[in-house]
Amino acid sequence: MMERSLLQRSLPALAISLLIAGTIFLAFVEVGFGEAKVDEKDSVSNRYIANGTEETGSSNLVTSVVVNYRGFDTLGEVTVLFLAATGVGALISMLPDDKKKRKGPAPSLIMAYGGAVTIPLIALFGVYVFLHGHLSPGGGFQGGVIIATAFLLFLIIRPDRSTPHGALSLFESLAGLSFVGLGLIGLAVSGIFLDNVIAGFGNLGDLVSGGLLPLIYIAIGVKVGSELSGVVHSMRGDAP
Amino acid sequence: MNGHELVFYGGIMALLAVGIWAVLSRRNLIKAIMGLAIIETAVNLLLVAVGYVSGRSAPIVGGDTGIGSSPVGGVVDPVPQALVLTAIVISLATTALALVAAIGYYKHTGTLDLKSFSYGRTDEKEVRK
Amino acid sequence: MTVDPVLLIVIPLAAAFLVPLTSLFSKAIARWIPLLGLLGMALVIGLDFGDLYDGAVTSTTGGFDPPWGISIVMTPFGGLLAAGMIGVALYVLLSGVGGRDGKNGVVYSTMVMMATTGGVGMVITGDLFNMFVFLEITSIAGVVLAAMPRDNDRKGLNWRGAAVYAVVGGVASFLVLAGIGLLYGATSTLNIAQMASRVGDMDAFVAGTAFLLMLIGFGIEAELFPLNGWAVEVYRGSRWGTSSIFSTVIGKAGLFALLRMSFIVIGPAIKGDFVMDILLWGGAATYLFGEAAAFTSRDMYRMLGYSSIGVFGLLTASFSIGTGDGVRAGVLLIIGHMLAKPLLFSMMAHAGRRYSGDVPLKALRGMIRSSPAGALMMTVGILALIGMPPSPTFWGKYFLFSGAGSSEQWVLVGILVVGTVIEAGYLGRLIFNIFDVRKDTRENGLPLARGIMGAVAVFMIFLIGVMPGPLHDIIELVIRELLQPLTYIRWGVI
Repeated sequence: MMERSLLQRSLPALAISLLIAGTIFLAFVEVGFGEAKVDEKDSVSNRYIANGTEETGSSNLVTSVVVNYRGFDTLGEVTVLFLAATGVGALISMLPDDKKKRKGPAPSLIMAYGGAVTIPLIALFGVYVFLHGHLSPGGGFQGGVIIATAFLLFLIIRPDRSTPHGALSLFESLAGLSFVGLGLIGLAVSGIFLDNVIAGFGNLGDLVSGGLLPLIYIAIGVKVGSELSGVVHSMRGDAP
Repeated sequence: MNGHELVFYGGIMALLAVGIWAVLSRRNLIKAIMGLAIIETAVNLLLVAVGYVSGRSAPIVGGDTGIGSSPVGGVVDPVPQALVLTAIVISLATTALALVAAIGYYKHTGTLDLKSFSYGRTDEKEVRK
Repeated sequence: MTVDPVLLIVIPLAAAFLVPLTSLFSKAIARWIPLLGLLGMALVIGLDFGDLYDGAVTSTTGGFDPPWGISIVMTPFGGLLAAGMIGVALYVLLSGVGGRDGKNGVVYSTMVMMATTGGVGMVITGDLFNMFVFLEITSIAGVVLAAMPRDNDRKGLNWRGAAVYAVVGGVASFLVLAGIGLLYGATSTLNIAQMASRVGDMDAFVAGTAFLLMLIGFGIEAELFPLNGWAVEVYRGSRWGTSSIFSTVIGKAGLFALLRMSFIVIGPAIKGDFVMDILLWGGAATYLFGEAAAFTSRDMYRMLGYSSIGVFGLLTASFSIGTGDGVRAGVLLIIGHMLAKPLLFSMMAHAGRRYSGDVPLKALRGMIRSSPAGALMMTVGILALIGMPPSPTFWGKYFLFSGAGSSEQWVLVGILVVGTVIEAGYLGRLIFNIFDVRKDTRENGLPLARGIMGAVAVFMIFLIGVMPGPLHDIIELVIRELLQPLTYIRWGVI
């Protein structure tokens, strides 16, 4: 039996990957690390940093960039997630049926009681995260994922409960349409899609500030939460 | 080339090399998907690293961060962080779909090995009238 | 009348988000929403198309001018491609009207619409990272489309194609992202026009690495040799509509991105013709590879798939000749391919619908008698693909030969001749099969919707083939757009 070592078998792959990684390494070393760019005044981020708080009303500059300056990207991102969730649901329903339907094991006592206590807290934390996206690190996506985690935990400790997938679909659709709607407000008011028309509303650093940004993050939080919960539900294996 | 560059960029490139090697050489579909996930992580790290400026803090103004009303020159670049936020969501979407496709392939053919599926002759049996 | 081109994205997104809601109430109505979305897109591009003759149609988002806000820059080339993509998507969906619908019909049509939206977004955006996001939209929709099986498929070819594309496409996307990170680090901007104007200060090695990453990443999506192994897996197992979308929307979007970045941003940073040469010979190699592989294929789907790969090579080489004739040829060949390929896939799927798994050539035998209308339309499509007049491809090949000849690229001319001969060979074999009537030919009526759409495609092929005149002015703008970076930079500044 010819035994070639792992290394020998995959030598071409190793060569290619080292070549690519090495080239990229050299290029990035050229770009520099940790040093302020010489022409900082010309970088787009200069304006974001200098004027972000007054132009968008949000103290979290990353949120300013994600939801306002580059809000169009975020809309695309939401769409990608939507497509993946829908696709996962559709593809799983196409899988050949497993004759034996295995129900999940009954949860232990600790899990059952511990879960019952922590699930609402986790969900609340998720809501906190997307509600405060413009004030502290976090935002719609992170909050939505946390909510979906709470949902997953719920399915684990109560395997007998079926998911309200109708309600999830409803929330998901409405949240998505809200995001588009908030963007269209800008189109209607100033002719520019996703314009943050009430950016100056409220004081910087308050919960009520940032104009449309927290509203958009709420929509995203609800959408991502319900979407990923739907994905968790599909992966569970029972038919939708 | 200072030490920091070596550590950060070098480490990221090592990850990237591992990921690319895994995708190119692993026959098992799940392992290839793991390689993809590693590549995605490496590139995300790369983007964050591009925006880092040493000595500066997170791009959040006011409140506890101590950044006053003129954050210019005091915060790192928020743009790569925004890009990575989007990229992480996209990696989630890609990995989820890839895994489901792998599950489908496995359930249908009983194997996770891409190379075992021979091209074979064309199937000339007509199925319907 | 100019309509904000951002609607080209907003309309289908709103439609997509409406689908799950409507599905709760009525699946029958939900089925029509993607079609309505596409019709909305067609309306927008129809209204804006006239403005393309004067230059780019631009817009902004977020309330801030570029480069701080993401801008939309629909150039003549972008607009042409967008119109073509929307047309193909409509062709695919309308051909299915009245047919049986699997339980995933709603998802299928939604994904067709969304793959098109991603492609359209890629070609009209003015921001590089935004282009990446749209690449992902089209890619994810593509994975789902690839996973949907043909009716009779028993072998799970669809899963294989989807899994391969998911992994390979994922790697492609993130290599592109690494390139974007590099370019951002080097130029501190993501706006393509601004990046193009800052290219002079870029270090050549950095530019070269970025080019390499984009070449591999977008080259994978554009099915260039040797990065196209995944494509055959997808073509082999997917529905005819999916294959059409891959070869006319997804692949063309990848090609557009590669050309845009290479010609306008990275190319000027690297002295000499390095970039153009790689693209030219890579394209030529792809062309030969694709046509040769198609010639030896025994499965119809693979054959047409390899033919598409060959066309991508032809297109890349054509644009990279670097002269006006090359660009002219490229645009006409794209138009010709976008018209003929879906037609061929559609008719071929119809002829082969009794087979499970691979479809042998003999499925076409006697098609002239079993479905005469389909056979005639398929023959027109085949001739249009080879380049027989009247067809856009004929004009494309004419300009290609004259462009290659006048630049004295004799090796290229030789390759083109060899490739065209091989093409005529295997495509001619198909025609021979179609007209080869045997006693056991069974009746196989063509569904009405498919027939109507086929007739539309044939009509368009003849129309543009006989009268390519009206396209002349817009193609002149495309030539300027691609060969003179300053043109694009000017358009990109609002």
